[in-house]
Amino acid sequence: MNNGKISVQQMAILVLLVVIGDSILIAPSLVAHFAKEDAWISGLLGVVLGTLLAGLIYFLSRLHPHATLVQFNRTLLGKWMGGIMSSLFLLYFLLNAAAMTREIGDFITTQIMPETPLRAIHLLLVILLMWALYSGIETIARTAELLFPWFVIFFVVLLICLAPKIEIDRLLPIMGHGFMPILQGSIYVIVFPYAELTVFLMLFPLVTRNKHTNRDFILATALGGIAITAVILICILVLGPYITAHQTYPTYALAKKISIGGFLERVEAFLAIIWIISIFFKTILYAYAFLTGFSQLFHLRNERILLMPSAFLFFGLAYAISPNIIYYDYFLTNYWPLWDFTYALVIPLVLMIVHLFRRKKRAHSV
Amino acid sequence: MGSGSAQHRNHINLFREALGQSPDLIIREMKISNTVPAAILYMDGLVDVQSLHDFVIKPLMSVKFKDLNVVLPSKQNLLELLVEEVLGAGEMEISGNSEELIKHLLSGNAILLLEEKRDCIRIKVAGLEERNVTEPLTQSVVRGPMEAFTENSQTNIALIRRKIKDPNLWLESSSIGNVTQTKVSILYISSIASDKVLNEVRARLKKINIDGILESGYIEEFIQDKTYTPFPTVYNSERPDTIAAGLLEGRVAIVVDGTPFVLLVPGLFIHFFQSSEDYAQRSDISSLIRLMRYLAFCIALFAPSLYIAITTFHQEMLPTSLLINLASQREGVPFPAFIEALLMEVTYEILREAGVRMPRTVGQAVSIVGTLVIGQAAVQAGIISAVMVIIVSITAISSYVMPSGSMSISVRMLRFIFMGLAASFGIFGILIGIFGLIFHLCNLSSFGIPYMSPLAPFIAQDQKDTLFRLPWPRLLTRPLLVNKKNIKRQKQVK
Repeated sequence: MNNGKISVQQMAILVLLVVIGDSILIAPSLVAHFAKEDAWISGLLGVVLGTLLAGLIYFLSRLHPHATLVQFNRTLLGKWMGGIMSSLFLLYFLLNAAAMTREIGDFITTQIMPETPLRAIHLLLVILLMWALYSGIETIARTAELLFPWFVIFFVVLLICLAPKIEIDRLLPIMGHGFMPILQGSIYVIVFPYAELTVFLMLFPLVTRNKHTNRDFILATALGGIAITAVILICILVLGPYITAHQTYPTYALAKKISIGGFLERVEAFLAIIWIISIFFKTILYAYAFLTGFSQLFHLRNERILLMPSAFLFFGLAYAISPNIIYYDYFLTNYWPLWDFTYALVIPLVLMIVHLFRRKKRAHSV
Repeated sequence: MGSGSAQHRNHINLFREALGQSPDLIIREMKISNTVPAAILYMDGLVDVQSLHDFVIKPLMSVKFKDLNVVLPSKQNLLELLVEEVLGAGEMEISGNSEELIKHLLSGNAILLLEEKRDCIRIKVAGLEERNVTEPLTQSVVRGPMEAFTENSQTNIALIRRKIKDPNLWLESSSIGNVTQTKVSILYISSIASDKVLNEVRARLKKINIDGILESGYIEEFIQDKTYTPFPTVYNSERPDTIAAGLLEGRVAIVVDGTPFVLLVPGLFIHFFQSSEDYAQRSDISSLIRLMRYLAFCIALFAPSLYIAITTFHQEMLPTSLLINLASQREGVPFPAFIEALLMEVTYEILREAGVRMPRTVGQAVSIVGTLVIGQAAVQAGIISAVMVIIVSITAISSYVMPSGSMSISVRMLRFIFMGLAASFGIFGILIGIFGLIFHLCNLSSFGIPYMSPLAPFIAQDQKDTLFRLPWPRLLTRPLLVNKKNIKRQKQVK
């Protein structure tokens, strides 16, 4: 787990994967629940607002370009206050990593393999997670680079193969329910894809910058949002708003609809590779942020000693985080956005104000 | 025993005793110009007797000191005089280090001892029975050079030099192996090869301290970056053209005496999918064939596990009529798909191993038994289904599409892990396995260069010769990661 370097290209791919993350699987249903036929407008609105939020997170990281969030907190708030703030973020990273492990587990056990115990899936995932973290961030970035073309190919296959099933009428009436539901729906496009980019505050210092870094970051976030909007749109076009809103995993239901020439059918298990790639990489980055953050907070010389204990932590927490999928969904819809906004919007704004205040004070004293 | 002082006798006995009175140490005693007692020592069978006779013994016997300008040479420069004016062989050296001399004696030198001299002359007259340059047995091609390396490293180096006539083709030799004293040579083009890789090769070779090196595989295991990995990170080939092409890309070759397999580093993942024929055939067909090799790699790795996953967990993926066929075939089969596949794969591996090891004459018997047992009897007996036979066959054939044998070995091992994952977690298990595999591949490196480059890290400029091969006029630069010193392969034609 040496502190490797990642290129701008690799950063862009990781950003894109994090933005798409679990949203590709759950966002259509959450958005359609509020915005109905206009879910795609919520998507577009979400992309615009979300990119602004991503810009805010990016701006925060540029205040101290060579410090991770934990180091930044320490210089800004001092040892104790900074430590408390960093611990809060570590808790956030830990819970997010565990929740996303649970999300994959729930998806597999409810949709693909109902007879396999949840913990068996978690075990496999946590072993893989540790295998990835043990290899280091450079390897993680390279793996993302290697898997990304497959991600794109499968994604495009999903969209193209569904083209024959599209019925434009399903979009009507446009704006039939007014503007508020659209705004409400767009929250879910802002929160899960964009607010959770907070994890990059631990990763930005590793990026070998070039003159395209700013542009590529914003481009990747926007593209990710557009991909999610495309999925929402195709869900509405193929499934209609009612079914989209009432499926837990509408994208998976979409993949079931694919039928080519009467022999290529029910390939959804293959297409699940799309979201398993994106969710898993999001999980890895959160777990990585937790581990490096922890070792930076306590000045550990070797991060590897944390691997085994955190594996147990992830495994246990992924199971304990919610008693069942109903509870998890309820929690995800109602409370998780607030939790995310706290760490992506409120705390960064506070940090930025403290930074400005301190700079002003320093300017005065000099 | 012949003439000579006691001191001369002792000197000869020193050599004789060092070799344990071995009878294949031949000692030929003589008197040069009827005055100076001398002895020639050589190992029977290691020297070329004809040239020893023509260029060493005959001139020594016929020389008369009075014919030379000096009347009677002073004792000191007699050795120099012999080297300069009498002996006819090419490589010789005056030396007094008896340990060194014994090493030379054992590698095909004759040693000339003179009375009252501590120093001796060693004369290289090596001549060993060796194989001719023949067609390559492992990496055969339809179009391309048909010569392969032999066991003699000198011949091998000459074969490479014949292809690259450049003064910058440099050679560094050393002997590795405390007992075997095997000659290991590093070969590189100094104007192209990366100094970083070169220094790494030198350092890693220097670290080897073992009693014997009998094959380049020994060296390979010592110098690879990671010891525990199923994937080869050092390329090997018995084709001079492949090695020459590697040298031109800026890679470093390691020639080990006694084996036709020459090593090439760094060896990246993509190198194991390239054949020298790719560059001889037209670029369109080479590109397609190269893509087919990657496909074959995937089939060899995943075919049995996909069969297991689909028949056990995801039957809905099969078209109904095929599913009914499959089900009726599997009706009488007592095993789950995993056991069925495992049985067949292991049987195949056993047959394959037997086919390689057994004497040629019994080969036919085994292949008949194999075909009948696997092909027909096992299906008729209801032990396995017919589809399984197809799966095993396509897997077996696909694993031999890779131009390099090292990569098909990795595939053969990993296949079983994927079968296990598929049996317990279906397609999700295979997916997790693929993730793990790619993490491992991306974590590997060969002499400091990421194993999966130029795919990850992605280098756009090197894509011209990775999955595809563009036509030669488009291959303007050498691979970027291996080589930073001398990028240009050809001058751009306007």
